[in-house]
Amino acid sequence: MAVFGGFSFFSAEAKPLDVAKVIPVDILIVAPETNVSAAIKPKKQVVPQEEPEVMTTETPMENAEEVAPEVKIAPKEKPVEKQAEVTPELIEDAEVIPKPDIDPTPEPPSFDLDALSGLIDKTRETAPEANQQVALQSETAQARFADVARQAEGEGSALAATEADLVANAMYKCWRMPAAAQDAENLQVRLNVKLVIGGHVESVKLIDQAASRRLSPGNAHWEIAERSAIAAVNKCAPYDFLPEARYGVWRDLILNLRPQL
Amino acid sequence: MTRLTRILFFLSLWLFGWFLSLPAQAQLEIDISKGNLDPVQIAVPDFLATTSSERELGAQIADVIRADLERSGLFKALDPASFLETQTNIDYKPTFADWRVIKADALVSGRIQTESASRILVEFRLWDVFAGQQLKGVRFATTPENWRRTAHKASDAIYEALTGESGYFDSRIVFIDERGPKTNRKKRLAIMDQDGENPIYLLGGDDLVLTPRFSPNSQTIVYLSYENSDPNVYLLDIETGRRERLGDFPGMTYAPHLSPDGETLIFTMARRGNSDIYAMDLRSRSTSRLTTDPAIDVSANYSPDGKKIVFNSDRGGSPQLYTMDADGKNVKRISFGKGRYSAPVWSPRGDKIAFTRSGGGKFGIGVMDIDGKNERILTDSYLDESPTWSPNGRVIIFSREYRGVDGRREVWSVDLTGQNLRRVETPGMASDPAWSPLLQ
Amino acid sequence: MRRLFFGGAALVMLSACATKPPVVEEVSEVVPVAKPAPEVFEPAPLPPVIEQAPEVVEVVPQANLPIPGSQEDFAFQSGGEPRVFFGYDQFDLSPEARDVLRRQANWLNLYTDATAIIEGNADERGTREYNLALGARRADSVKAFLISQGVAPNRLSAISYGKERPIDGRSNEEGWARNRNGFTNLRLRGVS
Repeated sequence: MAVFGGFSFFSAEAKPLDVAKVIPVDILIVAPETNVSAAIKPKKQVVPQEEPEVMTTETPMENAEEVAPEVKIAPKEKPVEKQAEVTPELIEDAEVIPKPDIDPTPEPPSFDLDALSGLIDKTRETAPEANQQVALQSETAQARFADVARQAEGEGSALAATEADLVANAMYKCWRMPAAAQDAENLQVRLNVKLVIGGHVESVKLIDQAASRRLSPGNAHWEIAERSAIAAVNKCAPYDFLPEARYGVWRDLILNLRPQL
Repeated sequence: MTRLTRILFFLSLWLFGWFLSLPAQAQLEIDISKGNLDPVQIAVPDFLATTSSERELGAQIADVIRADLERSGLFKALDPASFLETQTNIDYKPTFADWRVIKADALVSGRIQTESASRILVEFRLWDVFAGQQLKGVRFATTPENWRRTAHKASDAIYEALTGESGYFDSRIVFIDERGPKTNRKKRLAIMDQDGENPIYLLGGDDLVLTPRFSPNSQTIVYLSYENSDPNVYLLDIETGRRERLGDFPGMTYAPHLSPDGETLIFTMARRGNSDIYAMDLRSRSTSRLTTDPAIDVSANYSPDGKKIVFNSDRGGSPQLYTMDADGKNVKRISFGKGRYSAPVWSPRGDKIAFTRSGGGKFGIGVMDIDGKNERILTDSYLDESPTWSPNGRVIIFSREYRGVDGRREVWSVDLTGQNLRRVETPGMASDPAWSPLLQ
Repeated sequence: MRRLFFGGAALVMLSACATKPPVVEEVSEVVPVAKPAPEVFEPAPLPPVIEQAPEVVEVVPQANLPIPGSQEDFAFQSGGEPRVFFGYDQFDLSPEARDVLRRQANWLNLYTDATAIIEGNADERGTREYNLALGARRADSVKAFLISQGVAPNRLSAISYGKERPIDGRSNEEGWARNRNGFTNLRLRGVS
């Protein structure tokens, strides 16, 4: 609701407007706290795993003090686009999520396998045998190979469906699908999740990233999709609803997150 | 390697792997196809500050950011009353556990510092709470009066970091402000921030003014004005207030749009009752006619690459959508659904066209691919029309008119997906919105 | 109420910014409107029904009839208002409309100082720009007919208001029918 004051008479020449006095906003990049992360744990290709005890400690960002003056040197007039010089720092920070073209584990066999299954038979992608190949390539998985196999054998794979359902149900609450993204249904993410007894996450790793990313090449939303998949796994922890007696079944999981909108 | 040998190679590898893996039936593989579509829960505490005036600014900036993000429908800004941790220094890592408890997915911790009377530093860090890592850190240097734009810029940075798309908050909307009864309505050209703040009249109210459209640099607006009862396309520089009548033609000119490079005006001229599309080079002022059909050809605008034009024509017997090359060649009809189509607008992403479709006594906003496929109607009411895209092509705002003698007109917004339908706040009644590109 | 509009002389600035007081530039005295807005219409009667004998050309002043040559006279001769009506999405002239326009032409041929802007109008059930095109067709239909009846082309111009100038606010068939029209906006020398 508004009130007009008086008449306004419009002459042929409009006057300059207040609105136009756009004050330039300089954008400078705040020093990322990557150095701090590095101090806590070496930089990895994967999002850091849950370490609550570390997180609760207030960690000064040592670098902030040093870099701040450095940033100030940048000319004030620096327009938004000219962030290039500072951007590397940002990228460094973003590296925590692997960049599109850098496959952290470019292991030909698994890579080839995916390509092959894509060529021959789509259903192969989900075939358990195919995924075993991936499992084999993880040293840890290999180390536990016999152990896991032994544990699972006795219980039978039918029962494994129970764990799968429990995890899938939990993920419904924790996993935010990338609905806003373009070509969202092809933003499929494959994760290797290792759990400790009690259901806490020991590690969560992106696997077959390069193969997945071929489903929607160049999609700008891959990073977000991968990050949200990893966040979902962390968010759902602890997986204490999984029966401890069957730890051998769920200690090492492959999660295929395939959004169906 | 040929394709065949490659396949054989892979096949042998695969078989080998399969044999190896036979005993390892155990590693549980779980397919998850259903997640939620809940908004990202984001905590934006008031920005830290030292002095009371800074604190006021810090609260206002956080307010604007929360409102921006919420309006997008992709975020839920958590109530600051629920926050457990009160940070005292944004250079320290937040206590992520405290933020996880309140189910925050992301945290924005910001600070304001005064450098001088005319310069403040506004900075923030965006944290991924579950990963416990910083996603973005940005510092803005600006004047205190400019805090609102700074807040929108911060919202854009946060939006981009969390969605992977560029934001749209530091942008403006030009529109027609409408006052009075339906049969004697005053219409004036006005502009406001994307969130409805800072509305300003750009022209006096003496002449009827319609269909404003931004230039690509957001500094000029082309529109139709009925000055001297001689309706014509005008150009207004919103910085200097300079107005210019574009061309002197033997007929009424209207429905203006500028090309993506800002150098060509495309418009419609009605000559002897027949409306056709013309393009004018703004430097040389040379004009070329792009359509010659005796039917109505109107509402032309360019694809973001400037190579194609989408327009509205009733050459097929009823108003439908067509595309053509920028030189007028290669005309193709793209709308084939039920009803009448009009007011097409090419998305800034280039992959969609928004339009108005009417039928059965209703008008709705829809989107389709540029070849007319995947048509999707997003809204439906007595009269929804005049869609315009957000700078990132994710949101559409449009005019909504209500049935009856009130003829109330409002501006509404809806997502590309048809979600998040909401009214855009305007100072009075409003119509014909046009969204600016992101400001520089 | 968060927002107020303040009228200024040449431009009006409005601000809703809480920290910034509204800037009012050059608040002037009320500037009288230079001329009466010619576009404000009285609501017209329903679509024209011609009661009187069509062949009357010479205008005889009578006690309660408008002054010959005046705006009122022109309207009177047009059947109450110089406006003809169209079907939905149509721009062809009905026999009734032709009748009205013949009277208008006769009048214009009698008072050759007068000029007219033909305004094409559309009902609200169409989008803004498309309706501008539709209105342009209607205005041209009217203009072309008047020219065919001997009115010099340079005395007539045709413009379209699309759906921006409804004369009936109702959102029903009756209201829409009245809003689809061609209005002959007479300009008398020295008047406006």
